[in-house]
Amino acid sequence: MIKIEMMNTVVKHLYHAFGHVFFAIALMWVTALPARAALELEISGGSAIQIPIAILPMAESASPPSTSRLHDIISNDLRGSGMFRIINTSGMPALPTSASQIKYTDWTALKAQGLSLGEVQQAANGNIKVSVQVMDVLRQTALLQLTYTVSPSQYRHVAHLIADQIYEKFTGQPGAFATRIAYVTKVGKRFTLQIADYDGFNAQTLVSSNEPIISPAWSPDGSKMAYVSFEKKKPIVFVQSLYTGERKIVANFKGNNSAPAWSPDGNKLAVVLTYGANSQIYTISADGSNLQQITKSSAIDTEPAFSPDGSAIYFSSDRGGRPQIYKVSATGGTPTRVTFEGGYNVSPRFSPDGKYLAYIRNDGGAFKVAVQDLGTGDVKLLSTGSQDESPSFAPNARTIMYATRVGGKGTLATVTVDGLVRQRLSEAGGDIREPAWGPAQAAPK
Amino acid sequence: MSPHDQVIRKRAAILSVLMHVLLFCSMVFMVDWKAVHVTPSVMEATLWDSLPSKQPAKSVVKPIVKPVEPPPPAPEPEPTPPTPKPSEKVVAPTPQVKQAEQAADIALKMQEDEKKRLQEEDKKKALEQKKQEEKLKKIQEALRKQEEEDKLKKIQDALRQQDMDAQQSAAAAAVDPSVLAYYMGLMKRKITSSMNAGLCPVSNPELLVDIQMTNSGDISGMPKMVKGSGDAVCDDAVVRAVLAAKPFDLPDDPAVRRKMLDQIRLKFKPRG
Repeated sequence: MIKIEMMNTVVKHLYHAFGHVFFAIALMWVTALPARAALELEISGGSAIQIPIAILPMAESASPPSTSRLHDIISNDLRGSGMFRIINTSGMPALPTSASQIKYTDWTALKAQGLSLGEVQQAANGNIKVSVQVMDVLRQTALLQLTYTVSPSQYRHVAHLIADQIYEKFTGQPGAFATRIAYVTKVGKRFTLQIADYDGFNAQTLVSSNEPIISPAWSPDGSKMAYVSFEKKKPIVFVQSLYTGERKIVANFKGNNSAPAWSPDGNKLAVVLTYGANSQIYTISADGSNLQQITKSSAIDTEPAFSPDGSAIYFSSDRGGRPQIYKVSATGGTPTRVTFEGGYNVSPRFSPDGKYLAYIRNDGGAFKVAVQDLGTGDVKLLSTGSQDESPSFAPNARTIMYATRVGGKGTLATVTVDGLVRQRLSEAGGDIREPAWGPAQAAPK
Repeated sequence: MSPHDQVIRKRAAILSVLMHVLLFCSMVFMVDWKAVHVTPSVMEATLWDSLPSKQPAKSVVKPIVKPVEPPPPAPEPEPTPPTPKPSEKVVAPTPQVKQAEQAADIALKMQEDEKKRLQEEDKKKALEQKKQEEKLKKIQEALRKQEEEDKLKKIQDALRQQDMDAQQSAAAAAVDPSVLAYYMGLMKRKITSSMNAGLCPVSNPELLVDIQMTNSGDISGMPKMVKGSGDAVCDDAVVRAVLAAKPFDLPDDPAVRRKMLDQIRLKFKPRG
């Protein structure tokens, strides 16, 4: 009897189990059928290179301490970066002065993706208070809310700081508008080493001489400048403090002393000396001690540049018969060749992020700025001049400044690393050459 | 009154009389039948004061049933009544014995009643248990049925969805592919012209973004990033490109229009 009951129970359970299995299989079969496929659209590439943005004029209660208005400076910065297209708002009937007044449909109709507005007010102690709001037009949300209280002399600097913030918000990379550059001008027979805002404004003289000054180089912390001066009738390497103006001779050896380049830690410099017989690469401590020869060849080795990690020194050499770029360990050793395309490649300069190497290439008789992607090896010619020289990367590695000649005079120009946007920086008089872009942490003014 | 009517009336009278007689007889016999079939008493019991002996009971019962006729009266003034012989054998019940018998009868009856009561209780319990079991069985059956129905419903729903999908697929099949391609091409061009590829890594990651269009060609809500590039700026640039490209053109053809109003998945390769 019990056995029969047990059998019945087992049969019952088996029946249920089969029921479940059948149900599961049925459900799986039904659900495994292909779901209704949504439409799919493949989009490869993009033709937009600039972000459309509207920089609205700011309400300024006091007369602006600059010939340029704040929104003009910001607009110029962003436009010059090549990453933004500034929307012309002059035809707009009424511009909002606060976020609550923004009619987003108006701005989306103008294809604006960003919009900045704000005001400049008089603050205590003669200072000015700058308040700026940056809106995301497409999402109709606030992106940035910035407030600065500064002295009127920092009016332009604040504009650069705001431009930096907008740039970073939209591109994810830090801006380089609040940085400074160094360059050499020649007016008449007078050579001057100057330091200015990246756009050429607020220039200040660091050193002046009737003899040539060349090769300015910023220390990594932006507090010192190394350069070569011929004031003693021979090239000598100097290092000068930007805070105190104090300077000292770092390399004054027999023969030529030239082309100083700072190591990333700022402790030493690579220099070119004709100490032996021909031009060779040496390293020397920033105080002028501990000289060490890095290259030993019968060729001309010059224009050294430390790699961003400080492990290698890149330099120009004609050891292969024609000038090319080589690299050698920062402690010396056997150099290896880096450039192979083209018959003339000189003046290597690293991007701060270590991704690019810029140099000057002789392209059919014209000397142009080239940039090599160290990841892919791709080389691109960026400049269009015939006598371009001295490439120097912006701290954010997006833009390269170089010296070019226009109308027989030297001037400065910038080009974005993708080669899409070029602009001339300064129309100031004189012959301008040897630019060097300062680090991100620029020395205070 | 016509002779024909008189005949009918006579017949009706006779029929009425016959019917009354019949009804009377029915009543008499019905009552008699009921009297005859009186429900007999439910129980009959025979009480015993002792176990029956092996001898037939009639020897004991006989004197009671057939008492000895009394002897003829003697002429003597003091006649002695003859003692019936059987009276020697049958003990005449004394009042005490009668009480004991009654008590025994009562006890036995009570025992019997108790037994019956217990039996009835057992019966009731068994009945109750049976009822409970039946009830439980019914519940289990109902649950099992419910479960089966649920399973069936799920399968039916899935099959229904499958039918709907099939119908929609059939409807989609009716979409003019050239019209669809044209309007999808317009959408692609608008998005591409808004896309800033320079903001995406050179490794050219693939991004998947879902959008749902409204009837006006606008985008319902925000584009949904299904698969990002791992680079927030690139992801943002892609979303911005989609938002900046709206509104999109939609065709007048209702089938193509309906198709485009379904969810659209945008597959981005920003660097081409």
